[in-house]
Amino acid sequence: MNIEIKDLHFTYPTGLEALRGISLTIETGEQVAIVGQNGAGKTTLVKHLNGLLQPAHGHVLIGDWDTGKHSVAKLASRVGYVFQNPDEQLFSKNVGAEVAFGPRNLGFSAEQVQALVKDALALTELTDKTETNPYDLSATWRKMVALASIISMDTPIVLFDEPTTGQDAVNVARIANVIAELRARGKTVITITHDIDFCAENFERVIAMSQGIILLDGKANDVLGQEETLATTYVDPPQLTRLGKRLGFRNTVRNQEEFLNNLQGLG
Amino acid sequence: MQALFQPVGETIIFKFWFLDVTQESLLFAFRVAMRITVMISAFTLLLMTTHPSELMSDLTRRGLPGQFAYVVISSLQILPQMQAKAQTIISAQRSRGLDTQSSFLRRVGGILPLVGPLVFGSLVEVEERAIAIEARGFTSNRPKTFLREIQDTPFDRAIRWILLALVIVTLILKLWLS
Amino acid sequence: MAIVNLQNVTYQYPLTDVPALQSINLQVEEGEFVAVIGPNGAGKSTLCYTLAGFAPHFFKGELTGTVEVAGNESQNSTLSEWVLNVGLAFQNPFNQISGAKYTVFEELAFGLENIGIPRQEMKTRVQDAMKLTGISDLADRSPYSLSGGQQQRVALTSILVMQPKVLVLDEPTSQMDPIGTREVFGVIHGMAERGMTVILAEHKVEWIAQFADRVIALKDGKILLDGTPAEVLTSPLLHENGFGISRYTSAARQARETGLWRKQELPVTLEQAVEGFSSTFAKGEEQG
Repeated sequence: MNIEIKDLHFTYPTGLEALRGISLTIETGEQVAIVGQNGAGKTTLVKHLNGLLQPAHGHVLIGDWDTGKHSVAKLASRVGYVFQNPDEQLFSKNVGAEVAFGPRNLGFSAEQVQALVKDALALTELTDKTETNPYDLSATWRKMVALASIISMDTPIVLFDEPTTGQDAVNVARIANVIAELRARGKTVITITHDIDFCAENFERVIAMSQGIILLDGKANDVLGQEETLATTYVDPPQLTRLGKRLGFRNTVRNQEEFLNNLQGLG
Repeated sequence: MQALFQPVGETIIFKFWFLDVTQESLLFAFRVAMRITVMISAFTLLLMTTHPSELMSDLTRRGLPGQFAYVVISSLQILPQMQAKAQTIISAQRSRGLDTQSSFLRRVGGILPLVGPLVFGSLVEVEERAIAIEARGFTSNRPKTFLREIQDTPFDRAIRWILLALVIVTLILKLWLS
Repeated sequence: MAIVNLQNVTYQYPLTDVPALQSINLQVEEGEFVAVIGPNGAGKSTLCYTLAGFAPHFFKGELTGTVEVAGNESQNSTLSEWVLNVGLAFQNPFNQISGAKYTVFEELAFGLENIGIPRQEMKTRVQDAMKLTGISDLADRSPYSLSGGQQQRVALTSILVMQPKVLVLDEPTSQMDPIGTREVFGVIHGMAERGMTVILAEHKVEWIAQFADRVIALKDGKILLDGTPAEVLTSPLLHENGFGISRYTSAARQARETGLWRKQELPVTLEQAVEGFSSTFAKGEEQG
């Protein structure tokens, strides 16, 4: 399911012109990270993908659906959106019911819902917590419940808004695993993130935004190497990328494997 | 409404089913309405001309419990913030397929996903805020001081005495005339 | 003389089966900058609450052992008096705004009003504190109009004006974007430079390595490691126990196996990594 955005403009009622002509295409199965300073328009852009916001000008196509012609509830069958704060969506008496909420709304049969829930819980390591009240869980596990609640909707496209904020290393690794599994299943994954190391290690394509426009859009290795441009939107390159540059690597590296390979080449 | 249900009065003006509207009851209704209007406008005038901070500071100085003042004044700022939170919750649940445009009955069932996070999330926030204000000595027994100086000028005092005198005069007149 | 002295402290929240802190022994000297790291659930927040007196006074629960700051014991004090000893700031800047004040200046004076500081002294303290933390230009703004980083700096300043002897910070940058993180660490570093005793619970290892004098690693309510940043942040125990480590450390550790990292110590910061890797090749020798 491709995503097509053509010349998207959007202005908030306050008068703030948040998007000033965004055009891009995301193909099925792509893993895309969107980076840039606060106010660049990242969340505004992503909210157009499931219809929460409507373009002032231009259009957004999710597959063959124009977002202007379908409700958010309908678009939810194609685009799952994991919000940043789990406490802004959890309400059920137990984890199982919470994770079932999404697929039930989408009209899956009872058996299908059960299967989807079981799968989502397994993926997020929540199976043993199915009967627990989400608010009895720590913040770490509430985050995973929020993730599971969207995964169970089995949408071809999944959006993450700052998935790793406030998470410890163990949970970041869990979230990275979830994303890898979604990739393996052929889902399109789009994330907004400030954690540039997490971005570098898990996403092949990086879009850098600033003040309502796209500054850079390309393969992670290309984009993350452009230090000066990224600096204009207050993005520091990943740790190992910076190190590689300082050591005079010819290539831009974005994870430990690439770093060590290039290190060999120096000797 | 007042006019319809007031039992007194002899001069019937018109009938509505089995309820009578008399001249007296109309007058009564008018009086009630006026009283309500006066109360509301006085209160509104108070709120519009007095900064909430000053109002609370002054009331606290005159003996209003600090906790009470805090609850009132903090809700003035925090409730609008909660509104923003409520909007996010609505967006989050719509993104999970919650249909906010369907029939009434379905919507009643759909209240919990909207109210639940607001309530539970607020409980978490309230605890943190309690810790934060505790960390700034909120429950201290020491006598409180005030940053803002509320001036009580001779002019203010004079106005107060004049108003009090007017009330007394009005009361006397009423008793005398009735 | 240690300004903070925890002797055999064990604390258990009400209605829980396992103590959140177990037999903690910790001494902190005046002016030390101690960072506390650990996975979520290790007890970092509980340690912060214990130091600040909220455990047990606010949360109830059971505390054994002694919690001593500047010669006073938290169990023998009321919470409202204890907070004058130990200041506490935490993750969410929005929840640290009282909501009762309409300008930043008044917000900063809120605590001083509560403890009965005379008006003139209030104003002086607030002005001085704002200068120290660099937020004087925000004095007339509404606290709710500020960015996350600005709000967090206001929160820190509002604790500073209370003039605590020790500052305890529970993951103050967890919810910040990179700019906010930089701003907040700038303020914390400034306070430490001026001699404040700081205890900071954090995940961001690179920042800790730059500023902290000492690092304590907590796991399951117990102290796993206690030493200099160089010692603790490069310890193999961290990775084994689910702590986050700097990617420089991780890369150098693996490079060491193929001889591409020759130094005895592993790096934690960028500069250390650059220096170490450069020296491997400066010698101009080949390694298999």
